[in-house]
Amino acid sequence: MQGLRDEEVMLNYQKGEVEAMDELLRRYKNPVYQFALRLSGNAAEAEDIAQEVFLRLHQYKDEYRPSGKFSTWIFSITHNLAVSRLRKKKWWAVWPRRDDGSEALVEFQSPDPSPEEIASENELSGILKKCIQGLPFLQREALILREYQNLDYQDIAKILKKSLGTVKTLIHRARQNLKTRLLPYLEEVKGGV
Amino acid sequence: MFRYHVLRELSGYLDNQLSDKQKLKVERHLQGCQLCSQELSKLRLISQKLKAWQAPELGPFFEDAVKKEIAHQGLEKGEVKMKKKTLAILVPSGVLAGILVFAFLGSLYIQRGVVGRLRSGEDKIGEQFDPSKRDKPYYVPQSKFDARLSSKDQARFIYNGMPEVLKAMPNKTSYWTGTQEFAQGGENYEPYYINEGRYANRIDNTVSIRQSAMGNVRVASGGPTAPILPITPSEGSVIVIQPVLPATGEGEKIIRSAEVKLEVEDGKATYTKANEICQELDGYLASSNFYKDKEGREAGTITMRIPKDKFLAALEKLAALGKVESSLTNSQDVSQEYANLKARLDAAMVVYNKTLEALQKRQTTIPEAMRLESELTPILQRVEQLKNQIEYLNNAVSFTTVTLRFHEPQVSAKVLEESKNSIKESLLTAGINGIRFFAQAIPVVIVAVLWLGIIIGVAFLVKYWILRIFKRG
Repeated sequence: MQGLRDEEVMLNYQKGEVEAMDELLRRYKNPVYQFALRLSGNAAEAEDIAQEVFLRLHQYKDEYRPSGKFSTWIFSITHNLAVSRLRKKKWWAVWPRRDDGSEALVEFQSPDPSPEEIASENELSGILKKCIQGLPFLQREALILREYQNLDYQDIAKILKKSLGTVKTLIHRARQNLKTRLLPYLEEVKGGV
Repeated sequence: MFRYHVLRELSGYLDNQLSDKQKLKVERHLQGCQLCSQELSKLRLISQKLKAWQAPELGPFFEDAVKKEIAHQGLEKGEVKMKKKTLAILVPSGVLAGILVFAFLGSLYIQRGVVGRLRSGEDKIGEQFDPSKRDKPYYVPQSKFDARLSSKDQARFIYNGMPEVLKAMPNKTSYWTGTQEFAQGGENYEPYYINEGRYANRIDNTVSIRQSAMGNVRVASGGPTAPILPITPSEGSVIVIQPVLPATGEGEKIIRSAEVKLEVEDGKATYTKANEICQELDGYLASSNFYKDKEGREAGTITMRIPKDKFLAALEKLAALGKVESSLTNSQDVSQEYANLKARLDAAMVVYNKTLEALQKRQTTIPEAMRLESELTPILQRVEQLKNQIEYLNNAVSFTTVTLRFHEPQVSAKVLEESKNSIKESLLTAGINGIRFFAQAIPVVIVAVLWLGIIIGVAFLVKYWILRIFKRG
């Protein structure tokens, strides 16, 4: 089972091999979880999304067709679930909440972390997290899929259901935004050192 | 100096997502453009730094939790979600539909479109089903029975403790099938049989037939000379006709007649079909009558003569034309009468022949011949008369008389159709009034929506204001 490609493993699961789910979980539980976590910024929510992704995978296993990459399919499911949850939160989040730094989605936080907030973070990862979550949703998603999941633009376009040109633009703008927010801090750290 | 830069392509170049041609073009540009090279360096640095955000991995129990969920609730959970989605559409739709129906019915009630008309009896529907508003007594079918009585028997039917009598016709075997109905009049229940159109005669000291608890007819006292047919399970006022003719010996002369009363949906069609049946069975129409009553219901009476061997077939076919209300079959034995006539004819013929023979003798004197001739004339008339009577009997025996009476139902399809049209009209009027009611309510709804919009707008302004306070804080 371990030597098989993702698509073959999924086909085996489609045929009824229960062990195939173990293999899929082993291969994709962390990528899916990490994608959801970076997208939402909430560990509990990310775990819920990851679990829901594998339940959907089980539920719609008969509809799977190995015409494209399995990774594209599973990240598409993750994307759909994340968007769905975001919409629900947007609907209910009529009243503002004070930012606790980790729980809320970026759409309900201040879009631009102040220099003081950035400076207060001791670790670079914390700053990166804040900066990335400060990006608009689609830019953030496209950038995460590129930088952390290492998917090519074509696959990202399929997952987001956007054109290739749109994906290029999204990633370009995401990097420009990050550059604007992150470079001053990086140069400051470099100068301080 | 470059006339253009490749800043927009740098991300793609960094990610190695450009085509070979684009890649070559960017590389050539970067060799001579410091600005773009610096930009690429910055992007590369950011890309490298992004790797510093290491997201944690899932705990060891995740796989078990997923598999457990799949095994026990996984698919069900999905279905529940789908149900929730469906409910999310159905519930608001149902509520909206309910409000509309409620408003519609309310407008109906207010307009008294249907209720008012029914109560006031404009469409005559309520009247038809209201016994108190009828000129005639209100008939309720009570029972159904099918009995046969032999000649000279008289039977008393007892039903619900009310002794009723059905008189059998003398010198006949009666086959009586019908719906017994009762009309409430005064303190006592007066019975009659609508199939015969007259009240039954009360006769004492008759054969009594009681309806047993088992639902069959049995002899209570005395005894009929013919078997009693069992009751067919009652189904309202439906009557099953099962005429049974007595076997007749060769040479016996029996005149048969029957009367069938039907309730039919279409009187004209029944009239036509009855004629066709008559022709099909080699019979002929003796008389016919077709008319419409005051309420527009079609009715008629057809008397037809059918060959005796096709008598039962005729009854069967006619009964199939509608709902049988009653069927009366009579048989009259005229064998004796026929034999008498024949004997008298034979005697007359003997006298006639002898007289004629005497007249034809040569030695007869003229006065005597004149006398014989004067005697011969009445004898001849008598012979012809007897021959006619015999021929009449022969005809009556060889052709049975079947009378079909039919009428459309009391609440006929036509009347119902007219009533329906009246109701439709009422519903339409009420519907239009309902729409008008909603149309009048539209300005109110618009004003309410405007106010709601203002309230939501104010709420969002408050939200924005609070956000700013939080930011500053």
